[in-house]
Amino acid sequence: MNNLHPRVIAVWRLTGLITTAVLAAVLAALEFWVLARWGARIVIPGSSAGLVVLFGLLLSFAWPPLRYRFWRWEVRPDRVVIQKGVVWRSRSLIPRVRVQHVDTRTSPMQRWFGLSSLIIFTAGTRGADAEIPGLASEEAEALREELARLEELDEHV
Amino acid sequence: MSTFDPQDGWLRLHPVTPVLRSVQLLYAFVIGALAAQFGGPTVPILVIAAAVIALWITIGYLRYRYRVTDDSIIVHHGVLFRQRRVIPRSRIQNIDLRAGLVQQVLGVVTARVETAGGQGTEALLHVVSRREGERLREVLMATPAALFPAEAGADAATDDGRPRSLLAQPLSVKLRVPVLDLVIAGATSNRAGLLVAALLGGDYFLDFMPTDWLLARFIPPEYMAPEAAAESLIQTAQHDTVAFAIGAVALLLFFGLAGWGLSIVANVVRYFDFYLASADGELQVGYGLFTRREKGFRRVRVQNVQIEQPILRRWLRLASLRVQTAGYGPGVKADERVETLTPITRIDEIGGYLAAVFPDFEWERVEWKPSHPRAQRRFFIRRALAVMVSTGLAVVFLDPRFILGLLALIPAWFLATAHYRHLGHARSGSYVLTREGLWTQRTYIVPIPKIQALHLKQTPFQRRLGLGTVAIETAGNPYDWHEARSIDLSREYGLDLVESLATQVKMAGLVF
Repeated sequence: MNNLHPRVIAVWRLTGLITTAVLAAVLAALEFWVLARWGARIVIPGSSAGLVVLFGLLLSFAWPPLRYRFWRWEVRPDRVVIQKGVVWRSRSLIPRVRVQHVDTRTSPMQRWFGLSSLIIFTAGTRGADAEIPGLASEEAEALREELARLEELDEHV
Repeated sequence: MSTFDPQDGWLRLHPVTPVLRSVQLLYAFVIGALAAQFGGPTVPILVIAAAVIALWITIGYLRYRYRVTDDSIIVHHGVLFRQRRVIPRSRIQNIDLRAGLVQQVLGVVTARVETAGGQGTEALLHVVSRREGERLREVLMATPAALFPAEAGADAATDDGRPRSLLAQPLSVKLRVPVLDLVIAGATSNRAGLLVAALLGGDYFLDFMPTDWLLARFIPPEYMAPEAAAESLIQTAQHDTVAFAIGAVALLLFFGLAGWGLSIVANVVRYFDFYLASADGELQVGYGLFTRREKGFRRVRVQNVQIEQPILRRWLRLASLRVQTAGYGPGVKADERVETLTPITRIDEIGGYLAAVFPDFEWERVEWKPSHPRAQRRFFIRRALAVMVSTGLAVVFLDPRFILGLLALIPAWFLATAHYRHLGHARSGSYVLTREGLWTQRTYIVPIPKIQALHLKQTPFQRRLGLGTVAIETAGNPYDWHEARSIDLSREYGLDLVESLATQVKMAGLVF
């Protein structure tokens, strides 16, 4: 089974850092507001934002390589297999005869690193499980072409 | 009103339509009121506004025409912007007939034509006579064999050349639900609890229940301050525990009964005169007292069937059945819904309903297999942890005597065992079944060709015990949070199962 592209670790780390920064900013603003109204009795100034920054930095740095290690995917002649999860593990099987359509999606962060996500849609309701997040953009395109090719499409509705 | 020959000419909606639409005249009053606010001449403006609206309604009625052809239904409508819509017959999934109280009295229905590839309702005929609605449904839902009798074979057309389905296979009403069963359904519904909570909450803010009167029976007047009943209760608790207990019980009984009664009434009104009818490839359900609904759907749209049994109903040997339907074609998915197959039925009669949806499914021959015995351990550990944590917190923050809370471990063990026994999975022919739930047992029946994706999931606990949960994904209502799952199989067995199901799906080929 295949790994994701190694650069996806950087994408995950940067996304994590940004999220941490935003969350810390929001909490800091909240803290400021609380302090202004009720003084330093309720909250130690800087505590919540500080905690978030601490844990955020730690997680953003340490988690992505773990996540990368446990992410596997494979396109077989008759199905797509996706295996992921560090603590909560899952293995998904999508029969190719059930693929409705395939999307590639690139966030600004991914674009900077030349990566894309491949999203496979079936008629199933929880299609969010069928996303491969860290592929080189050319590879994602190629896969999309390949998966979209079905033997023949009859219209029995 | 309704011409009988479907091939000829354009048809209008029922003449009573402008009357039903005249409720829009109320807008004239709104405009008049606005005029009054701004100091204009109210009466002339109101009259002009009413006249314009009435004209609009009338023109709208006159302009609305529809026509059924060999391969489609065409609708022309629009007052200012003329619109023309052509719906190919092959795309029609459903003709939905609905009638509110007034409409039922007048003998008319609102017909909705629904297709697979669109947003659901493609054409809305508001209103046509009931007979016309049923005729439309018959004509538009005719199966292809009936549309092209020459291709289907010599005996597919009758002597006078009319499509066979219109004559030889009327929808036969298979199963009806008597009112008494609906009363029982309402009485045993889990939702009764929600209703009680809603009543309690509503009364706190809006005060429509005789709560004060009730409490005055039990609580000495010195504690009945003019504030809300809740505060009086708390004051009483601090001074006279017995009165408090009696008052609280009375309150609970009162709201409980009220909620329960409401649940029964709501259920009866909603599913009044429920019937299930079936023919060739089509199923039809009808129900409702104040709003009468009649929905049809093609059997191929059914993605799975759920048998739902809350604990009370299970003891009474009752169940309710629902189907998830979706119309989808290559590259497109629409109209995912949950339909009620029956609001309540006896367990022995489930087979009849299932046969209507899955004719080749043998319910009696299903052999349920249990989950892995280690699952029992996992269920117990989860509950034990919850008990120990909450007991620990109570001991530390409240009172050391709460250590007695650990006694809850005993019922926790029995509950865990019971939960385990309600797990199960089975395979029968081209169907796969899953079952779970103690308080509400849910059984899923999924035709293997309808499987969209398969998952094997493991929580950290399951990983340690070598277990996993198989989730079977189908098309259907995305807002229904449950899914077909086989919980706590051994990991190897789960992998095997997923692989073998995927292979069977592949062999089923493209299925829409």
